Amino acid sequence: MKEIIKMLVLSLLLFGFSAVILAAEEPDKYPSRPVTLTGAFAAGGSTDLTCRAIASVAPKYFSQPIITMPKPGGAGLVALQNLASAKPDGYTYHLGRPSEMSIAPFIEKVPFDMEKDFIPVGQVAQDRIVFSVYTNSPWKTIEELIGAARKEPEKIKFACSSPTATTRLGLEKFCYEAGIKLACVPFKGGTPAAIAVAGGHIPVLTSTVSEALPHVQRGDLRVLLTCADQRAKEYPDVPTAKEKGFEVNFGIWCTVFARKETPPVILGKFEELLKKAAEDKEFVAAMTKLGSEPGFVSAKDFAEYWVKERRWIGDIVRQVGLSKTP
Amino acid sequence: MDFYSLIFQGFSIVFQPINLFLCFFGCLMGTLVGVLPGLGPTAAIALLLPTTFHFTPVSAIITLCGIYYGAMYGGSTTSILVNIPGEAASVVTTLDGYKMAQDGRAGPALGIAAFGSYIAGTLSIVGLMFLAPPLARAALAFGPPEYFSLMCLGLTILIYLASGSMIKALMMAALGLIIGCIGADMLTNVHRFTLGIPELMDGVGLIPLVMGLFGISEVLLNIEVQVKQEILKGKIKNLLPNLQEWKHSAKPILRGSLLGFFLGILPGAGPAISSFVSYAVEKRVSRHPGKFGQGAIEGVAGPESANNAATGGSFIPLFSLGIPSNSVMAILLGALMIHGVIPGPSLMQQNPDLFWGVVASMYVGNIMLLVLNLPLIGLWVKLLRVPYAILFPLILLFCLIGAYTASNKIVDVYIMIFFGLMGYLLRKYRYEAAPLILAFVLGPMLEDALRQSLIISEGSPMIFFTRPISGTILVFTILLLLSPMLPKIRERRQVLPLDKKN
Repeated sequence: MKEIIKMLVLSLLLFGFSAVILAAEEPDKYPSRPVTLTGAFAAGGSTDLTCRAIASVAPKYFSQPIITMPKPGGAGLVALQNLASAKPDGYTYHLGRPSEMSIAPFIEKVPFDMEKDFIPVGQVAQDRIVFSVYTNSPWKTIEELIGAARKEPEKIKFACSSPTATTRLGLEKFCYEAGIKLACVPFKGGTPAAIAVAGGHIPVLTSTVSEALPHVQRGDLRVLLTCADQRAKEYPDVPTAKEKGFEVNFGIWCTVFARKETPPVILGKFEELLKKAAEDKEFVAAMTKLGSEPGFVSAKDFAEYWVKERRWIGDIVRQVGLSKTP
Repeated sequence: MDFYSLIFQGFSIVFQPINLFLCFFGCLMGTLVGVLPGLGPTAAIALLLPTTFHFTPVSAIITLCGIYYGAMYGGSTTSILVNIPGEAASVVTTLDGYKMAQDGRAGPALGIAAFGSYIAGTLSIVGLMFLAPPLARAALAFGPPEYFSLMCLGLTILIYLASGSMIKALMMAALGLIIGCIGADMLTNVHRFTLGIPELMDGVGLIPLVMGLFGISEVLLNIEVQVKQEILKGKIKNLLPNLQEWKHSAKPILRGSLLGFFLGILPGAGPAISSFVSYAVEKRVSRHPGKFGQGAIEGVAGPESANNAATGGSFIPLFSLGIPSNSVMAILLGALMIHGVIPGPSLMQQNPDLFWGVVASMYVGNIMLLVLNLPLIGLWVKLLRVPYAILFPLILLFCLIGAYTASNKIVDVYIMIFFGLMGYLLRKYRYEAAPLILAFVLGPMLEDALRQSLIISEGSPMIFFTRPISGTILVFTILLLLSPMLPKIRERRQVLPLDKKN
């Protein structure tokens, strides 16, 4: 209970503080007060832990502290609403994931335009998607699975963490390119989905590298494909989508976003911080522990990639029948 | 790793200074909420959950568990000394405990409650340690159809064991199922009953719901009744029960331990029901049932052991299958998820530190509680003298802060206030909130499992009967549903009702 009181007093103090300083802001004095970084998932989840990892290495490279604030709810809309209503002054950022930044706008009614309202500042890490099957299933390679699925469309089931999950869209994109169709069995979260496949109740799994790993090590799952251009270090023998001729280079990225109207000078300063943080030893260790792949991608490179990504996600969402707006 | 090295590892985690401190802190808070009327363990755990966000998962769960079993110890103190149960599981202790205190035997009553709690608590941890791992290994055989059948069984037992009116329990469970429907549909993502509020897309939060139904409503209810803050005068002597008293209590403690442990595993039973059943059993097997209600030490020893044994048992379905068996476990399920740990079959494999650390912490915590509750009893008695005019506004304030800090959403505060008012009315008319909470948590799990199973079977409901585990559970469920029609069992059920006392 002391903790709560302490937090209350602290936030009151902060509030008073910021009210005084808010009056005037000049880009060359940036940063002159603490910066807020939101995430769209609950405290303690991988997004929140990534936010905290950035905040914990930031003091080495940034003169002001970063305050992390998980804002879960509404498919990420609660957090985005918070960013959209903040001043475009470089003191509020959002650590975005594909689920709310690329997928939700095609599924939910959102009160903002992703391209016109938000701008990427830099990517710091990503999770890789892998497809695996139950050990006792007959398919040893991805080609065998494709062959079986061609014979019986929509008969083979796959498990995923939710109907709108990033991992599901990765698999649906792959199916589209391979010209097959599988039936989706959504679960509440990646771990229950992986357990259902490891127990042999559902044959195919689409998940992150780390969600599949414990079951692969115990011999209950066999990984068939990694959705990337390079092989995952956890599965050096598993071919990539690129090797097999599919264009499914889709990672579950962690990218910081800001209001679009934020002055470029300020965004440049924060991008510099993200670059240094992403290469920091401590940050790399924290991400590796989470099963994520740390690595910096610049705002410019990410923006180019993001446009393409949203184009194909829009197509796939419509095909799968998740879209609300026809 | 073998069994012994795992236990050893668990103890090495508990004996880290920070965890030792947090275990103590949890037990202390638990005793506190147990002693103070107006806040039970469920609301207290929900309230303190946000403060554990910065801990490691093991430390967080050690703290929260400490509150749970700590409350079972503390609850008996007020029952015996003031005739006010600190929380639901100690209601039955007032019957004989307070009588004993009036006869000047408050010391032995408190003593046997604490020792009985300690013995039963420790025995149930041994049970948890041996039963949970094999069950978790077997759990991979549980797919969606098996989970569906388990949920059906759980909801059936929940109604069957509910204290008070069965119709009212059914109504509360149905209401819980309906509230559980709010949010985005798990297959098609269509919004159900969200009223266009984005925060409701993920459903009603468990924490504001619990804090409203258990915390706010309890305070509102207590403001209404004029509670006499009269505490037994005079010094409490002879905390250590004598040989004669031990002789009378030994068997009730053992029976209470076994009974509580197995009832704890069942969904819906939990500590409160266990203590009632234990009291009924002791009265039945006793050679002098007339003494019950007149200060029989068996009537304190049995129930107080049973409610502590139930805490150990209730962890089994949570840690091995990811199914909460009572409302406290439902909150712990949420707490584990917040800390990135998914409760279920893979928990013991992926987070052995967590499971064994928590188990070891319970051994340590039970010893701490014995010390907290016997030599320091005077301190708790003093605490009972805090005027309610100060206590209740404080609890309300902490609930408001707690509901907000859990997720940084003001909507959750409104939800809590809404359910607080609703809970107040429900309890005034003797509707129990526990079936609502459990159905609220089990309902969505049931729906998911049903729909997943039907996708797997391509629409055929036969999948629930043709799979051996699922079929067995369902047949058992149906038998249980039909059993109240047999007159003999209907008679037996009438032993349980809570209302009997009033």
